Amino acid sequence: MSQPPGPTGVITLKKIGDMTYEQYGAIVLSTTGVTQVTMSAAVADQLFQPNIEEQITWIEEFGSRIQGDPHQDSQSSLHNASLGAWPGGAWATQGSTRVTMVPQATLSGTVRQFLQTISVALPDSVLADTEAAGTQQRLSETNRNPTYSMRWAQTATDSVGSFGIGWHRTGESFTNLSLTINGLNSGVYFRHEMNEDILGACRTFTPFIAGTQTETTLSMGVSASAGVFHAGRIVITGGGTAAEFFMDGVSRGVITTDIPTIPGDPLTPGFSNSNANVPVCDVDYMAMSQRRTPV
Amino acid sequence: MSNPCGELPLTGPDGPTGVIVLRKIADDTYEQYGSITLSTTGVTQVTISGTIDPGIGGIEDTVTLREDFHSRVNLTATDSVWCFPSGAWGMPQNATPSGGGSPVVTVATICGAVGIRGNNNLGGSLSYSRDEISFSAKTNSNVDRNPTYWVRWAQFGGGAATRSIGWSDEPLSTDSANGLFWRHTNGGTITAVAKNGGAETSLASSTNAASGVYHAGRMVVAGQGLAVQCLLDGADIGTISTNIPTVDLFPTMGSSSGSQNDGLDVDYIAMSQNRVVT
Repeated sequence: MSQPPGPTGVITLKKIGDMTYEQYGAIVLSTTGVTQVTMSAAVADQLFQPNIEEQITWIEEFGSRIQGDPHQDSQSSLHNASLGAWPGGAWATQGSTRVTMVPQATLSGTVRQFLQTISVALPDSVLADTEAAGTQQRLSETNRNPTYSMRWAQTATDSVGSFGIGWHRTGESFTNLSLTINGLNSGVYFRHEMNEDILGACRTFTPFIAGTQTETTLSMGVSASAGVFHAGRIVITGGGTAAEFFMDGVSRGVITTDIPTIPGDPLTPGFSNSNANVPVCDVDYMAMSQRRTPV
Repeated sequence: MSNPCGELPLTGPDGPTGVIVLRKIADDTYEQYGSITLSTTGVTQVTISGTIDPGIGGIEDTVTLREDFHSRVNLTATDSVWCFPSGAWGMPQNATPSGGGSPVVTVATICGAVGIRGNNNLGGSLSYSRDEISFSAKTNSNVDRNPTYWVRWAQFGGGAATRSIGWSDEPLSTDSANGLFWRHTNGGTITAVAKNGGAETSLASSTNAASGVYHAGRMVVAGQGLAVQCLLDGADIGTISTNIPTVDLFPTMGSSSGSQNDGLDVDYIAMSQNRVVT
């Protein structure tokens, strides 16, 4: 901030905790009348934007697809039809991305998840590490205090199955949310049955024994319905000791159990459904910010 | 207290509290009403909270598009679409190469730029596209979301063409029926334009275009489309309040000249707006 024409002084802030600072010095603004405060936008940007030295930021807005299919006339690095690329990176799906992640005509950019054919696999979309093979990208661990953001809407009124969106164990998906040997082993996410209550969920398991999952859920107090978007946010603190769930900007509570904290067992963003014979969901964005190194 | 420059919510400090209301009186300048007196001796603990990362927290309320044209991601020029980090950008197929050359070229600037040229017949344009398959414009803005549009461009060449850049419902190689954009002829006055259903309101700056000279334009929509403040090279040139378009718009820029030696070079195009109508 540039120096105001009124009273001036120097404030030095010493960091004493996560987002907490001690102030040394003081600036006394006018207690009567009007003081003009001048702020430089460029400096404000530096103040309020994430610090790349400390934070990893990832944003997928699905605004415009960069590549979804090999190009017929020119050399293309994208030779796998199950992969598409948006500004946030490469996404892998079950079936052709041109069929299963279809851009929608919304101003904020949205993709609609479809089931291509039930005989291939259940509808599943995950961030991939490259445009070539579809290996899931390891993006997050709860020991880095991540904040996860996502916005989605149930698409059809008559959809069936369990929908999940969020961060799951790398290599897995939200297509099977049962606590069974074939179900998801770990994740931090939102889940709901079609037209039913949206739940925040944390799930972990005994490493690395399938079928030992435990899950804690928290009602968001909101039911999913066709065409209604909801903004979910999960703020993990304490290196994975607490996960606060927000729905549409309102804190709905904190989960402190079953948060996945297994060392070396990272998480990947994605969204999936356990069954579908109609369009599943519209996803507006997914985003993440976390410390570059563990707490 | 909310941060007037961003989306970061600030909680009240543990110490002395009060309310400050900032009224915007000019670009980046605010008048303060009310006061908060921090301690004049000793230490006051100041706590900042809200989302950990305001860049992410802001995503819930704000849609941001930023295209700096630093690096091309994918070339599918035969389908008239070029991809950059913000997404796919396309041109109507009939304006793609004819008789050699390319209507979209990279410009060797440190900050990255693309050049848009004619194809020896038709004027070139570049517009945000739904995907990379074939050009299909992707609308991403409406004035009811109070968008701010940023552009920086330079005239290229000296041919008698009209150059335009901004948000529109048609590729801006020719004038559109609806849009908010900047327009000038060869060496002509740079003018802010609002068009709604073909009717136009224009606001001339005091600046003339010249080949190779970059200008930064900004349009700030307020009141869900009641007014558009227009700034050129940081100077407020006035506000447009009539013929503001109501239809969905997409970012686009182009030139009416079919010459491959004429067009415009675009450094960046960016947008920030409310995610939903509020």
